Amino acid sequence: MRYIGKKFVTMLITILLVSFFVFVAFAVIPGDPALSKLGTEATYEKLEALREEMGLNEPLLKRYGTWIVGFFTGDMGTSYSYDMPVKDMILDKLPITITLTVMSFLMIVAVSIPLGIYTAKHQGKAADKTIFVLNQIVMAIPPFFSGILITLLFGLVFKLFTPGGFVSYTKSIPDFLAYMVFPCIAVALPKIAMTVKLLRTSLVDESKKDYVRTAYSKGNDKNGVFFGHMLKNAMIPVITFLGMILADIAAGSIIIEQVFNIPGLGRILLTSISNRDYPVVQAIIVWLGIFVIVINFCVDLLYKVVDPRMR
Amino acid sequence: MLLEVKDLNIEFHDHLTPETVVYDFNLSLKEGEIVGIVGESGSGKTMSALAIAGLLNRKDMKKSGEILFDGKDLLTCKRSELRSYQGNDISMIFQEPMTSLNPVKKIGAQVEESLKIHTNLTKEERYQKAISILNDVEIKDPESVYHKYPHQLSGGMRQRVMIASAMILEPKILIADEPTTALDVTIQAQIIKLLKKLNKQKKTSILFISHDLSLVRTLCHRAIVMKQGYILEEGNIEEIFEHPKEAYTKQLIEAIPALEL
Ligand SMILES: Nc1ncnc2c1ncn2[C@@H]1O[C@H](COP(=O)(O)OP(=O)(O)O)[C@@H](O)[C@H]1O
Ligand SMILES: [Mg+2]
Repeated sequence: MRYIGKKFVTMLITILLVSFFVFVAFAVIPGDPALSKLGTEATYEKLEALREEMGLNEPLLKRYGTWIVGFFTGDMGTSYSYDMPVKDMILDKLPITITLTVMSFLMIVAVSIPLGIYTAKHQGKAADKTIFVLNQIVMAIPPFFSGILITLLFGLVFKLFTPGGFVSYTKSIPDFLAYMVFPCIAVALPKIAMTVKLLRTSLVDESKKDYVRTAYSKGNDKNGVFFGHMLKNAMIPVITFLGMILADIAAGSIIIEQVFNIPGLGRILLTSISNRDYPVVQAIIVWLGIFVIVINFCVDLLYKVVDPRMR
Repeated sequence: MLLEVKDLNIEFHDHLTPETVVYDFNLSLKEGEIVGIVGESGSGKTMSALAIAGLLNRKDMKKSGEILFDGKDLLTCKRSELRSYQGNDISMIFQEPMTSLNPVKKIGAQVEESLKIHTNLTKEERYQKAISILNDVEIKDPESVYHKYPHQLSGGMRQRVMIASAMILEPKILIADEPTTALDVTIQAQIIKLLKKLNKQKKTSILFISHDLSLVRTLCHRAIVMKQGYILEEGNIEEIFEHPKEAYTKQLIEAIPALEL
C-alpha cells in the first residue's frame, strides 16, 4: 500500500513536469500567437490589447499556473484557428482514438499470447518455423503500409468495408466498430509479431531453468509445467513490453488515422500543427503524455502482482 | 528389490558424433536403504540420477538398459505411467536450492503441488499436510513460511522446503543430487541429519549423490564409486572405506580432510 502511494505521488509529479516542459516549449517557440491570430489586420494597439487579453504579457510561471489549473478543471484554452474551446474540439474525438488504441491492444494481447505459447510449446517443429518466418515479415511492415494493403484487399477486393466510409460512434456504434476493425489490424500486426517473438524467447529461456526440472519431478505434464509454472515467469518481460506498446500505439494512431480517413485526435493534431494552433497541439501532447505516464504506473503495479521479488 | 537398474547406458546425440556419458550402470536399492553415489564432477552421477527420476531429455538422448521399479521398466513405460510415479513414489531434490524453486509461487503451493497432482485431497487437507511436512523438515513457524516466497528464505531453508515438497507423499525413493553442496558446513550437517531422520521415520530409501565421501560415510549403508561414466566399485560402507579395492577410491578417501562430521 505504501508502495502504491509513493508510486502515485511520483506519477503526479511526473505529469506536472511533463506538462511544464511542454508548456515552456510552446512558449519559447518563435512566433507570436496574438499576431498570427490577427493576421493582416494587426495594428500595434490591437496587438497589445489582444496580448493583454490572452495573458501573454504575464510572467511564464504564472501563465503556466493559470493554464495547468484550467487544464485540470476542464478549461484547456481556446483554439486560435477555430476560436472554440480546445476541450470541445478534443472531447468528441477522444473516444475514436481511445477505441483505436484499446481495440488494437486487445487484438495484440488476444492473438500474441496464445500464439507465443503455441510456438514455444512446438519449438523447432514446422508450425514454429512457419510462424517465425511470417513474424519476421510482418514485423518489418509498418502500419501505414499494411493499412494501404488492408484497404486494398479487404476494402476494394473483398469489400468487407468501405474505404473512407468512416461512421461516427454518435451515429451507429456497431458500424463504427466494424470500420475500426481494419485500422486496428494494421496497427496490431507488427506488434503481434514482436510480442509473439518475445514471449516465445522468454518461455524458451524459462524452460531451461532449474525450477522447471523440479516441476517435472513432481509428476507435472507439459501443460502443467507451462501454465502452472513457466507462463507467469515468462510474462514478466512481456508485461513491460506490452506497456510500451500501449503507449506507442496511442501515439502511432495519428498516422493510421490518416491512412483510414478517421477523424480522431491525430487528424486535429496534424491540422493544428500546420495552423500553428498551439493550444490544441499543447493539450493533445499533454494528454498523450499523461496517458503514457498512467500506463507506466499500471505496469509497475502489475509487476508487483506478478513478481513477488519486486515487492 | 525396490529399484533395479540394469546396464543403463546414456548417450548424447546432440553432436555429430554421439557421446556416451554413462556406461553399464547397475544399481539395486532395497526398502529403507541409503545408497551413495560418489565420484568426481563429470563422472555421470547426475545423469544416472536424472535417468532414474525420469527427468532426462527425450530429445537428443539415447538410453538403453532397464530401470525397474515396481516391476515396471521406467525407460520404456508410457509417459503417463512414469508421471504417476514422479513425485508420488520417486522424488528428487537438487543441488541448487536457490534456483530449484519457482520464484513466483508461494512456498505452500510448491510444497503441496504433488498432492494436487496425485491425490483428490481438499484444499484444507492439503494445507494440513503441508504444514505437517514443513514441521517434519524442522521449519520453524510453518504457517508463516507457507505464505512466503522462495527469495524470502535462506539457502538452507529452501533446501528444507525442497525436501518437504519431495517427501509430502512419502515416496518410496528419494533421489538427492548433491543436496548440500551449495550450503555451508553447519547447514550441511543439519540436512544430513534430517535425511537420516526421514529415512528412519518414513522408511524412504535414499539415493544420495555426492562428491564428498565423508558425507556418504556418515549417511549411507552402501556406496557406488563412479569415474568417467563407469562404476569402479561398489559395496558396503565399511568395505569401501576400510578395504577399498581401487586405487581411485583410495585417493578419494585420502582426500577427505581430517576434520570429520
Ligand atoms: N549436452 C551434453 N552433451 C554431451 N555431454 C554432456 C552434456 N551434458 C552433460 N554432459 C557430460 O556428461 C557427463 C556427466 O555429467 P554429470 O552426470 O552431470 O556429472 P556429475 O553429476 O557426476 O558431476 C559430463 O562429462 C558432462 O560433461
Ligand atoms: Mg552432478
